Amino acid sequence: MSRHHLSRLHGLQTFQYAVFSTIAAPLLFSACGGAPAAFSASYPDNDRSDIQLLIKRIQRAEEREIRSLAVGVTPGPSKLYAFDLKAQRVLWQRPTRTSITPVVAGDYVLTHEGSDIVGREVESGDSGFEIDDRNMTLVGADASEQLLALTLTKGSSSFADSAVYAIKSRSVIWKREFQGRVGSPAVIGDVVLVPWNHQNLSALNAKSGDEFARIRLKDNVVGHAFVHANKLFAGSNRLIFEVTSSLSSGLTRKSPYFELPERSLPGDPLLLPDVYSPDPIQPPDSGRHRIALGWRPAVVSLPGKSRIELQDNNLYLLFYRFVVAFEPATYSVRWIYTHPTDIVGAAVQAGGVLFADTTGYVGFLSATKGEKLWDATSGLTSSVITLRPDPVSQFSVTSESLRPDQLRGQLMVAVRDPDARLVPVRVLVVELLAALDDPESTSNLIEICDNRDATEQVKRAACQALAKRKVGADQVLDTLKRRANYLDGTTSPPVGALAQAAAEQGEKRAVALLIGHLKDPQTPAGELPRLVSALKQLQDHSAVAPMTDFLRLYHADAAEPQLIEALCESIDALIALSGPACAETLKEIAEDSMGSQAVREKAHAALQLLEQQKRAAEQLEKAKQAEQQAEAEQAQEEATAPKPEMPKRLSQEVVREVLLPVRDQMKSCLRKSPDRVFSARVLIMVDNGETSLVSVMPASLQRCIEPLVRSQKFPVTQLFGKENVAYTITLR
Amino acid sequence: MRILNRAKKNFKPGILIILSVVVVPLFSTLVRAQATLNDAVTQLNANDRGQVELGIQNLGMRGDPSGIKPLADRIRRGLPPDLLELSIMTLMALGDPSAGPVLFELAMHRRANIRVLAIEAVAAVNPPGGQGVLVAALSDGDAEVRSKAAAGLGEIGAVGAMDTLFRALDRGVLEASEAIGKVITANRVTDLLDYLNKLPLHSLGPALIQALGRGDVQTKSKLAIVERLGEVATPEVKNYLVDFLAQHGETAPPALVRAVRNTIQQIAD
Repeated sequence: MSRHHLSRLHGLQTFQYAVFSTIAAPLLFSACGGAPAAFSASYPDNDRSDIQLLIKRIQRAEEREIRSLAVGVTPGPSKLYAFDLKAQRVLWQRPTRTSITPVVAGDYVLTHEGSDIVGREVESGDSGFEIDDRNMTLVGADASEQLLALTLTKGSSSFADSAVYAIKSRSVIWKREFQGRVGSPAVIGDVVLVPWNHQNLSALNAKSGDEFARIRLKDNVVGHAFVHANKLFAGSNRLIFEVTSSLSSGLTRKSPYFELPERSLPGDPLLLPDVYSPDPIQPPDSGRHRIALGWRPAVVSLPGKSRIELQDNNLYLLFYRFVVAFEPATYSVRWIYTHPTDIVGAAVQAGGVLFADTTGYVGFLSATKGEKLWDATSGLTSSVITLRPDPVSQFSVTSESLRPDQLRGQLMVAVRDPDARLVPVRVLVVELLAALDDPESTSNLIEICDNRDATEQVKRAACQALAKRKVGADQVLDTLKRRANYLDGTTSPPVGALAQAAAEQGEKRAVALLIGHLKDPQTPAGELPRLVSALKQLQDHSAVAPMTDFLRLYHADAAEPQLIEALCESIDALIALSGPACAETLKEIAEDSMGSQAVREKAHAALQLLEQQKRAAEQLEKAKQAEQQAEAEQAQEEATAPKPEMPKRLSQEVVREVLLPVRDQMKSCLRKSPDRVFSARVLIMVDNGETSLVSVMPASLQRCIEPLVRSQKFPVTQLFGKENVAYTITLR
Repeated sequence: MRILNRAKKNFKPGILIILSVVVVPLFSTLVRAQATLNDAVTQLNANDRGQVELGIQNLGMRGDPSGIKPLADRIRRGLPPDLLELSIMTLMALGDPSAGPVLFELAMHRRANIRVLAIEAVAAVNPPGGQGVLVAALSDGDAEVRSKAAAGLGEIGAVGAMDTLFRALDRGVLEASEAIGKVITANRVTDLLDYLNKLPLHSLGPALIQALGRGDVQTKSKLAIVERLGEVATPEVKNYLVDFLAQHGETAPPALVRAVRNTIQQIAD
């Protein structure tokens, strides 16, 4: 296979070409009144018609044909190899000095070896072309319909220089250079899409390299353009979006998009690598290959609006030896797979995720359960493996998700893993267990919290979660029954967390067990403060005596800070449980010159508090008494005050006075009457002040006048019996 | 007072006996004139460290069990560690079973050295319920507490604790060996001999020597022990048997002495 040392062979030509393309060509175009050169600052952006043209050209693109393979780099002596995933055979191996992870684009595998960007043919591993890097580094590459586009860059911000190369049939057919940072390109149909300077996405004619459309994003960074299922996407660290005509607004969210939730995942992996960092593509031996996200976009068309979802609605986190499938919107875990060795490459395809490990082993996990459905091995130890999955073929994957007990089993396998590097995920797994609202999860948390060999961070997370449990009281009680016993070979359980869980659940059955642990010298001092606090929270009076004994026995013998803390906590607990009844004990503690200073001060403060409470109670009592006294005096005054004189009988004068408040309303009844009535007569029977009968003439006014009459209170008269009175209403 | 301080440093059950039987009564006669029970209790309840220490010592010097209750009350009200140790030794010196309840409580004290002292005191005073406390202490997290508990069970002749002592021996509480030797019954000698395959002889030796020297163990059982030791036949066994003859040769049954001598002869140096 012939080699093409393009830049070296044509150094002068390259320079002349560069001068032409960066200086002369734009001048020529502008002089002729044509469009500005590619990446020129004066190129119009977000032009609706330009972008619509771009979309049309994208839509005309043909589907790519992709061969599924794995390309890896072995550690010293470094070899680059390709492994055919379908045929399950190593296609070729070649010595390599690549400083970057191989990039697979179309029919080429790109590496950066010495000062050359080398393009090897996928089928043979032979060099197809070499390009002088000119001290730049490869940022990205893509290929379609025999055209390969690659981008190079060096420097940072405004001092950066970048280049875009288009290669066809092993030859550079055009090159564009500009000042600024370039991102990772995409090729679709006859269009090359190039992200650059964080905000811009330039569409170049694949044949000529001329820019014909530019999108400038106002709300997000863009570093990558990529093609999937014949659709064009772009994005950056946390967000991807489809390139559609809506982007003429400059707003990414006007187009279908997917964004990572705010919450970070262990290791803070990115959706797409940061191409604007000094190392856009990591070296083969970088540890960052072991922490990554796996995903593939899936555009869902809805009436009126489309949106981007992830393939199988899974976001995969690869973390050393774990593969975790998350529901992307909430990060709730669907499954977790634990692999025996480090995973150094992964790619998502329909129905699951393909992964590769350091031994050259490649496996496929189902999207729904994380079951291994397929595997193969190259047998080549690898630092990194780039996987290109088969976009068409699919494994038969069950649609059933894991049962809760199966998920719990997977979580527990992960959390028990002793690998210290996996701690962040194991802590996350503990949080996931804590989110499961069942007693079995409480048992799991107890197991982790109780494991003396567990990593401290994992154990701490489990104990914290256990302390907040609202279910699983029986599990908590069973564990609290255990005591340290040398002959039985048992140890003290994590009393503090269990005590808090019992308190959280208001589980008074725990009180006796907790008192047992309070008295047990094998209960670590560190557990005592939370134990005492739980006893206080449980509000069970049976804890008063043992807590008093505990306080008295150790108040002069407390050397450990945690014991002092527990003693101080017990003072609070005694006040909460027994109030002023504990004053005598507290006085004894506060005044003991041999007692621990901290405990004495606490007792003293508690006594002051009790005193304040006592004074406040006394004042309250005094105020109450004064109020009662005032009420009694008032009652006395009322009793002795002269009563108003009762009328002798219900005279017309008395009746008029009683009905005066409703007189106008009664007249209104007359006015509203359809019978044109000018007067009405009301007969009222009053029995000891109670109106027992109201009769109205004419009867048509009865319903209007009776309630008004009954609403008034007639006085009790000296007759103390029934009285009939008549009252006349006239309109005058 | 000096005697109590010495007892604090070098306590041994023998000292307890001296204290309780000889010295304390002698001093108590002398002190009684100076410090009445009321005086001692007043000192005990003072809010002054020196006075409290004097009160504890005076109670000890009085040698009167009536001092136990006020001392127990004072312990329960809380004392600094050194005064607590002195109090326990005073309770030991007073040697009255009424000290049992407070000693049981102290056998569960958070300080291991206090538990050690309390266990020694329980073994020395042997109050009702003491055996249960000593058995429980065999499961203590502190090795010294466990060994004192094992020794204490031997001292009080706790035959009922034999199974637990065997368990303790299984779990490496070597002091259980001597205790087992003190409490073992003839029908359990075989169990003891099984341990010759499990434990080094220096761990089991105290039990065997104790058993061989005991008058209440049948000669038949003792001969079984010697026979089994003969099978082990190490220089260490030979030394043990030579020591046994030196200690018990004149009092042991002639058949046993003969068996021991024969075994010694059969074991090469």
